[in-house]
Amino acid sequence: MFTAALGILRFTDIYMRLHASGKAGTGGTISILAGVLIRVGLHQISGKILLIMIFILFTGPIVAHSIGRAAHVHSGATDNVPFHDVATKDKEDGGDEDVD
Amino acid sequence: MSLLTAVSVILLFIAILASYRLFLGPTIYDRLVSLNVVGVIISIILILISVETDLGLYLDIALSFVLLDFVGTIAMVKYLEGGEFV
Repeated sequence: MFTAALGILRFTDIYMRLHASGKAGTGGTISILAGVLIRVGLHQISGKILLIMIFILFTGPIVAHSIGRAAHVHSGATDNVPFHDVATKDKEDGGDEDVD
Repeated sequence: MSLLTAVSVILLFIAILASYRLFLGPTIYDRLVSLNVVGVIISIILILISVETDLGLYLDIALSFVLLDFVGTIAMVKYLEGGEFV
């Protein structure tokens, strides 16, 4: 979770921030909840913790994908051009680096 | 201070660190990413409180918090993306 927060804080692009939060955030959440589940053991509340864990495991990639798709559509790329060509074209044009 | 309380305090500082982009993000999508991560961290803190105090009420709150976080993020993304609202 700390690497996810650090990535969101320090990376310079929306796609890099999605990379940080999409994998490190989801993996850290699953790990913390698995540790809590092992610590609690077979209890009344362990089923709900397992349910929240599975829900976050499924919805993290969905949210990351939809935010990335919306950012890609918002950046003005047409449907015929794949993302890779748009990225390299931006880089050849000098790019629009986010100096922050 | 038990282990779960220490983890909760660390997660609170991580949430404050991640909410930097929520206030100062250059685009709206940075704010959305940060909002999603902060919501997940807050739900983990709620789960830790529930285990620490042995109250099952906080677990229901955490479950509904995760659900509303997901639905809210998807709704905002669909609104910003434009087009037909599925």
